Order: sequence, then structure tokens, then C-alpha cells
Amino acid sequence: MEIFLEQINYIVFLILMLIGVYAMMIKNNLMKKVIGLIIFQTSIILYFISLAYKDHASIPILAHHSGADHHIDISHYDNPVPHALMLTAIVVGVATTGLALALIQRIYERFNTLEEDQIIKILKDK
Amino acid sequence: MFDIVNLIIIPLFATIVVRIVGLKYRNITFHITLFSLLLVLFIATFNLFNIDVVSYVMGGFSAYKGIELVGSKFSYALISAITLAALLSLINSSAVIDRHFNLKKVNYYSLYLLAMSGFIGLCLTNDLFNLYVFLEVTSLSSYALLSLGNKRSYLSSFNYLLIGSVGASFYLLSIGYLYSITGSLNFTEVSNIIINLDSSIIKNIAFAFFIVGIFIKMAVFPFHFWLPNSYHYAINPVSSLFASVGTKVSAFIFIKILLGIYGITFITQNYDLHLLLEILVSLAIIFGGCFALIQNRIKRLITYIIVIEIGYIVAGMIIGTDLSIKASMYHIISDVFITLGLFLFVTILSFIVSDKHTVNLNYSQLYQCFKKSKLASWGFIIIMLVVIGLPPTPGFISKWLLLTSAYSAESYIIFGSLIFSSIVTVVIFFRILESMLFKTEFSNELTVRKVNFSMVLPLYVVIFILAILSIYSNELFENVINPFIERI
Amino acid sequence: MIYLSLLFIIPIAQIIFINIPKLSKANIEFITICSTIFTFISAVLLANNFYAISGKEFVLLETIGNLRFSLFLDKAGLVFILLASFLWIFASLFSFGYMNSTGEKDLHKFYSFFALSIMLTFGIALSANLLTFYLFYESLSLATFPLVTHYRNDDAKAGGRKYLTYLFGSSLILSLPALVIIYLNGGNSSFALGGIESLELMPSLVVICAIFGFSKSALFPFHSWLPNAMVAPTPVSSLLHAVAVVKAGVFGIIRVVGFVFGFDYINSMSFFGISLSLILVIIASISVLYPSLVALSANNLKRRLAFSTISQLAYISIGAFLLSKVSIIAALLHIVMHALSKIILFFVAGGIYVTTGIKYISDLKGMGRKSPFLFIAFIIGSFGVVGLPISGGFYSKFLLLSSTINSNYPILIWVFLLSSVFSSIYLFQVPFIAFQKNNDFQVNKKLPFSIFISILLVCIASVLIFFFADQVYYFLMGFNEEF
Repeated sequence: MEIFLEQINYIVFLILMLIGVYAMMIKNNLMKKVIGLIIFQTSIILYFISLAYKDHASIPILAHHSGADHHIDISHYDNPVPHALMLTAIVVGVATTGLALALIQRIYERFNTLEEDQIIKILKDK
Repeated sequence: MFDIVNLIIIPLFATIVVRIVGLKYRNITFHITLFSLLLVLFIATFNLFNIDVVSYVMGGFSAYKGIELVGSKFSYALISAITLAALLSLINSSAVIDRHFNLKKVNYYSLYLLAMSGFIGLCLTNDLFNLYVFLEVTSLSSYALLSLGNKRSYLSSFNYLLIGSVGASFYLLSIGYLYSITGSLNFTEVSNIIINLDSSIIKNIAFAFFIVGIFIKMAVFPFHFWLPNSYHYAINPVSSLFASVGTKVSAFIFIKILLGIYGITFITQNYDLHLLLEILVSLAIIFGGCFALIQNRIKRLITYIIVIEIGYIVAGMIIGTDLSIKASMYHIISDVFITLGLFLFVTILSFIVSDKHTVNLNYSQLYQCFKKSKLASWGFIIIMLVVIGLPPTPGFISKWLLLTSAYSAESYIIFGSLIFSSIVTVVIFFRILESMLFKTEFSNELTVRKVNFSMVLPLYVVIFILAILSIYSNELFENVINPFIERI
Repeated sequence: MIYLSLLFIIPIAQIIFINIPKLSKANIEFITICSTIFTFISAVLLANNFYAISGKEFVLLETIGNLRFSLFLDKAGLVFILLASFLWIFASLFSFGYMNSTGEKDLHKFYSFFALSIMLTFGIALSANLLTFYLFYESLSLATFPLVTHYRNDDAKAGGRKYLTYLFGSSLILSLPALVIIYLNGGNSSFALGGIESLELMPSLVVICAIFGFSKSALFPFHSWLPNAMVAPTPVSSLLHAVAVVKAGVFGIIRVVGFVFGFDYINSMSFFGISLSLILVIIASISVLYPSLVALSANNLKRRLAFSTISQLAYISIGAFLLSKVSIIAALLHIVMHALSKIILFFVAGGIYVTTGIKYISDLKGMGRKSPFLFIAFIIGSFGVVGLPISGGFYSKFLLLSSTINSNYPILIWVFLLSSVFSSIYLFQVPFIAFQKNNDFQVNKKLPFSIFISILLVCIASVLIFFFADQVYYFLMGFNEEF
């Protein structure tokens, strides 16, 4: 039980990732696939952030009066590098989602449906 | 002026310039793109011939803290190759874009430049996370560009988006695992730490995620299913760019990280992993060959040939001997031009055959092409000769080196699949020759347009470059490829 | 060195000049005949300088992994070059007359590919290692494909398909792996008398793959491309499929047996308990006898000649498989003699078709009395193929016979005698039918002068070689010094 609690971040991230993959593969609606993609990417972001966590640490922002001359005890602050990386990753995810939604909009204009099996049927009938 | 960072900044800057200028003057955008790519090509070839390994850290930080760009001779060579490929496909397709996509020209050219800056960044960067960023830059611009055209291209690009994002996320996950053990994101630092680390579970997990992610991007069986659809339904100018550049740069990343962080012994000494990868790569080559054989549509046929060629590159890495790794790297550069040549011909053929921008090309239209433009048909035949591996073309050099190293490393499965793919490509070549020379009841006489010389010229530039690659292969190996391997 | 490159430069120049647009047919013919004569002259000059050049290796391209494409000149190669360039002159003359009579207009592609094929044959003769040999060999298959399918009808398509399937299929499946294995074990598979040391895994299998991979030599069972390639125009059949392409195949066999592996090594090899040389000799004997039987019943003249070629090529292969110095020299000699004689037969077949349009032997009844020249030439050529005196074929067959007596397989004498009987039957039957009395026979057209002169000159050459055959023999025997 303790091992489970210790590594709960891995387990949660794994479950989220699998939910995302499940949605992308099994669901028929294109919109739901995009949502699955978002969940998938979010799980990875969550994993990274969880790497940065330290016990009893606060957010990695220096308060105004702790200047460079003060000795900074890093065990009081979370690791900032994954946070910075994940900012970038979130932006990338946003861009990807935007592009996916734009594509879905176009697909809807042409096919009038977002269900994948119906789209395939339309294409086969052509 | 010849800093390597300019190689990335120039196209990026040009993207914005094209956007702004394009608000008012649409026709200059082509020239701006052309000029900026020429500039990049000039800088890259200058660096290739004169400057050795160079490291540049963004923002002036010290190497391990900041984002480092490292230019080695091989990365300059690869950048020159892909910029040249981009230029040639730009010139080849300017007529098509002007005719059909005039309103979308600004978007097209700016995305084109964005994609190129991403690819160049991929070749240069030495920071693992920066690699992810550039990977996504190229992927996003490719999703957008590949969806241009008709409604099937929207769908195939959407599928590619889903699969490609999963692949990039897997790569991100793997560098996350690597970060959790090493605490650094710089490639050299990570490789120094990891190589001394003995087999740990996290290292293997990171490797597993990395392989899956990068195989998705490279379109190795069984992750290649996005490739035929998305390149087939996209318009010809876009497929010529991405087919020739996209998968090859991902292959370069694969080689860099595999050799640098894990070392080739990671694969060759782990017997189960080696066997699994051997079988996978052989299946890649065999499946690519079988699917290529049953195709009737030429563009789709060429996408399966791409799958086979990528299979060669990965096979070279998996065989693992010194010679085969060098052969893989040589094949990356030569394959850029082979694929480019094939798609350039497809653009010319579609232009000859029909007025629309997406046209279904099959074998029976080759006869028309042969009648209408002998020059283009001959160019296609010569490039197919390189694909089948006639000595002394670059295709033969890579194939021969792979065959000899496969046999000497006792990877008989790969050896057999290489022979099988040679037979398959020869059969395809015969079919092409036959369709070109003989009239069947399916080849109709209706030809639409004469193709002007500026469309055929890039094809011959490609052939010229392939000849140079073959003649100067020795210099290429000694000065460019060997130092890269030794450095890592 | 200069003459070596001239051999390549002159055909390339010819191709460039022929393809200048808007040249008249007479111009094209003039350019062609000039280049053939110049090529022959450079071959002769090369022969004069032989001792200065032989033994030197000219590297064309060299990359890592021991990949080296290079050329060299030795006696076997020199003989082949002289033969090919000499006969090219007459084949060009013949093709002027033949192609003119069929009324074709745009022949520049035809002559360009013809020149390309001959140039590639020179490359085959000059190859210094198996890799270069493979390069020129495969390119030759490709370069002759447009010639074989020249008429572009359905027959041509089927014939071309079979042609490429057999040639490329066998070389990719059989000889490419064998080439890889030889390379890995031997270093760089250079042609050196005496051959390489040893192979580790199944050396006999490698030898068999290498030999059958060069299926231009039309060894049973990879021979059926040759009769189907007769859909080509007769000039192509005569030069390429009697002289250049098929002789390149047996030349390859000679190189593999004598120069890559060496006699003693092959002698010692066994394939699942049976001696390798026995297997090879048996297969070659089947290749001698079986096509002779088919030729007896073939009514189409060119088809009969094709099977006769297959049978004679197997003679040359037997000479190589007998694994002795004399037998290999006999094989080389037979390459020359057979080429000279066979080309006469093909020229006559072409002449018959041009003047009367006849393809089948049974229709020839009575033609001999109307155009005796053609059939006297046919008789002279048949003498050479069968091996009767007053023709060069006598020498080479005699040498082959004597080397079989001294070898391990004296039963081959029966094979040779039997096939000589068959070949005399199926060859002499043709003039026999022709000279029968038939008053209804009409000859439509007059024989074009260029065909007449080409047949005449080659007949004279084939008779003259009978008197000079010993010179050739002593020259070739010299190369035994290096053994």
C-alpha cells in the first residue's frame, strides 16, 4: 500500500495516458479523438511536473527580497526546470489542439458528419 | 554571418516577413522564400567546406545550462541537402501553386519556411527538449500543409496529427525519464552520464518510449500507416518537400541519440532486443515491397518505396557494424535526393496529364508522359535505376554495404529481406518501363499540356547531385561521416 | 591507356552525334560506320600495346568497404574486345540494309542503344573484379532491352518481359548473394589467375549460384530467354545474341571458374557428396544435347539458330568446367570461332527475310537456285558451327575434344560427337531444302548491297581465321605462363 502511495504519480499518469489512448483508438467521433489526444498530452505534462516535486517544498519562484547574495536552499523550492519545459509543452499542446479543431471543422464542412464510420462509408461510396 | 544560428533564424524571420508582405503584395512571397532558402543553402555549404565542429549556445549561457546548438560536418551536409531539396521542390511547383492556390499562397509559403526552420533546427540542436520543440514545429507545419487540397487530405492529415502527436509525446516521455536519472537535458552531458550507467530499468524504459516515438515519426513498420495516406492525398508540392525531408531528419535524430546516448552495443549485445528489431526491420522492408507491388497508383507506389528506403536506413543501424552505420548515414543523404526526384517526376506527370490539382495517376498515364516529355521520362528512369541499385549509383553503394555487413554480422533475415526488396524494385522498374514503352488499351492519347523546362530542370539537378554523391562518396565518407561517428 | 579510354569515348561520341536532331539517315549511317571502324582500329592499337598495359589496374571509383570499380586488360579480355569490335563493323553494315528494307524512319535510338551495348561489352571484357563485371553485366541487360523490344508489339512485349525476368531475376537472386559472400571472404574478388583461397560456408553452393546467376550464358535451365529474344530485329539477334550478350555470359563463367576460384579449388569442391565439377559437366552436357534436339524440330529459322547458339554456348561452358588450361583456352577460342560462324548464319536469315519475307524453313524450298549466294554463305557458316575443316570452328572443337580425352570425363566425347551429328543435321538441312527444285519460287526483292558485302566479308574472315587460328592459339597459350 505504501508503495502504491509513494508512486501514485506514476500510476495516475499511466491511467490518464491509457484513457487518452483508449479514446483515440476506440471512439468513433472525431471530436472525442481530439479530446483523447488532449488527455494523453496532459498526462505527460502531469508526469513531468510530478518529477519536480519535493517534500515540503514551495513553488519555484524567488520572493523579491531573496536576492542573489542570499544563500538559497534549494530543498525549499521545487525543481523549476520541468515547470519551464512544461510551459512550452502546454503551448505546443494548445497549438496542436487548435490545428486539430480547425481540421475537424473543415472535415465537418465537407462530410457533414464527424463520425468516423460514416465518413469511411461516404468515401467508399464515391 | 556564418553563425549556425542564422541557419535557423533566417527562415523563421522570413516566415514573418512573408506574412507581413503578403498582406499587400502576394507575388513577392515566392521570391522572398526563394531568397531566404538560397541564403541558408549558401551558409550551410560554406560551413560544410570550411568550418569544423562548432558549438553555439543561445543567449550566451554556459553550455550545460543553456540551449546548445552544435554543427558538425554531417549536420551541415544534411542541412544543405534538405535546403536544396526544399529549393528544388519550390521551383518545380511554383507553377502549380500559382495556378491553383493563388489565394492561399501567403499561408503556403510562410508555413513552408516555418517547416524548413524546424527541420534545420532538428539537425543542429544539441538539447533534447529543444529537439522536441523543433519536432513539434515541423510536425505542426506539416499537418497544416499536408491538409491542403481536397477533403481526403483533411482526413488523412487529421489521422497523421493524432499518430504524430502520440509519437512526439512518447519522445517527450523518454526525455523525461532520461531527465529523471541524469538531471540534464543537454545531449553531450546526458550521453556522458548514461554511457557509464549500467543497465538500469529506467534507461531501458526511456529507450522503449524513444524507439516507438521516433519510429512513428520515421514511418517504420508497424508505425508507418500514416505515411501512404497523407503523402498520397496531399498535393504534389507538399509531398515532395515532406517525403524527402521529414522522415530522413527523424532518421538522423534516431542515429544521433542511439549512437550518442545509448551506444550501438545497447542493441547488438542485447540478444532479444536485437532479434526483435531485426524482425521488425525485415518486415518493414518486405511489407513495403509487397504493398508497392500491388499498387496501381504511382504516387502511392512511391510512398511505399519511401517505406522500403527508411527500412534500409534502420536496418543499417540495427546490423550495428561500423560499415553499416556509415552506410545508413550515407543513405540518409542520398535518399533525400532519391525521394525528391521521384516526387518531382510525379509533379511533372500530374501537370502533363490533367488540369486539376489532384489527379489519380496510374501506370497507363506513363505512356502519355513518355510521348510528351522524353526528358522527364528519362529522368524518372534514371532515378528508378538508382532505387533498384544499379552500380555505381548511390543506391548500389548503400545496398552493397548493407548486404556485406548483414552477411558478416550474420543477420541473415535482413540479408534476405534486402534481396527481396531488390527483386521487388526491379519488378516495379520493369512495369514502369513497359508502361512507358508499350501502348496498352488503357493508355489514352489525350495529352493536355506541354511542360516547360523549368519544371524538368530540378529533376536533372537531382540526378546530377546523385552522380556527385556516388563519385565523391569516398570523400563524403572520410570527411563527413567518419568524424561524426568518431565524435560520438 | 589512351586506347582503353578511346574504346569508351568513341561509342559515346557516336551516341551524342547520332542524336543531334534532324540528321538524315545517310548521315546516321555514316557516323555509325565511322565509329565502328575507329573503334576497331583502337582495339588493334590496344593489342599492339598489350604488353605495356597488361597487368595494370585502372581504378574508376573507389569507396569504403573495399568497393572498387576498376578495369584491366588481359589476354582473354583482349580477344573478346577484338572480336566484338571487329564484328560490330559488319553488324552495322548489315543493319543498314536490314532496317532500310523494313522502312523504318527514326533509327537513331536503335543505333544509340546498339553502340551503348557494345561499349558495355567492352566494359565486361575489361573488368578487373567481379563487382565491375556485375556493373557492366546488369547495365548490358538494361541497354539491350529497348533493342529486343524494338518493334513494340505484343510479341515484343512478352519477349522483353521474359528477357528481363530471366536475366535480372537470376542475377539478383543467385549472383548477388554469391558476389557478397565472395567479397567478404576474398577481399575484393579481383580477377587473378589461380583465384582466391577458400570460402567457409558451402563453397560449392556459392560457385553454383555465381555460375547460374550469369544466365546470359543460357545454361539449362535458364536458357529460355534466348529463343524468346528472337522477337528482336535480326541485326540485334546477330550481334547481341550471337556475339555480345551471350558471350559476355560465358565469359563471366570463365572468369568465375578460372580467375576467381581457380581450378584446383573447384576440383576439390563437392556438393552433398558429389563432385562439383561432375554436376557442372552434367548440366552443361544437358545444355548441349537438349537444345540440339529442339533445334531439330524447330521450323522457324531464327528459333533453330537460337537453340543452336544455346547448345554451342554449353560447349564453351564445358570447356570451362573441365578445369584445365588447355580446355579454357579451347573455350576462349570457341568463343571467337562460334561468333564468326554464327553471325554469318544470322545474317543469312536476315537476308532471306529481307528478300522474300520468309521466316520458316519449310517455305525455303527452291530458294537456293534463285539466290545461291545466301545459301553458300550459310554452308560456310554451318561448317564453322559444326566444326568441319576450312573454318575456324574446326580448331576449337578439336581442341575441346582433345582436352576432354585428357580430363576426368572422357564420356564427353560422345556428347560432343552426338551434338555434332545433330548440328550438322539441323544446319545442313536448310541449304538442302533450299537447293531443291521449285520452279514456282519467286524472289521479290534484290538483296541490299550492304547485306551482301557484310555477309561476304565475314565469310572471308571466317575462312581466313582457319589459317591464322594457330597464331591466336599461341597468343592465348602465353597466358598460361602466369598460372
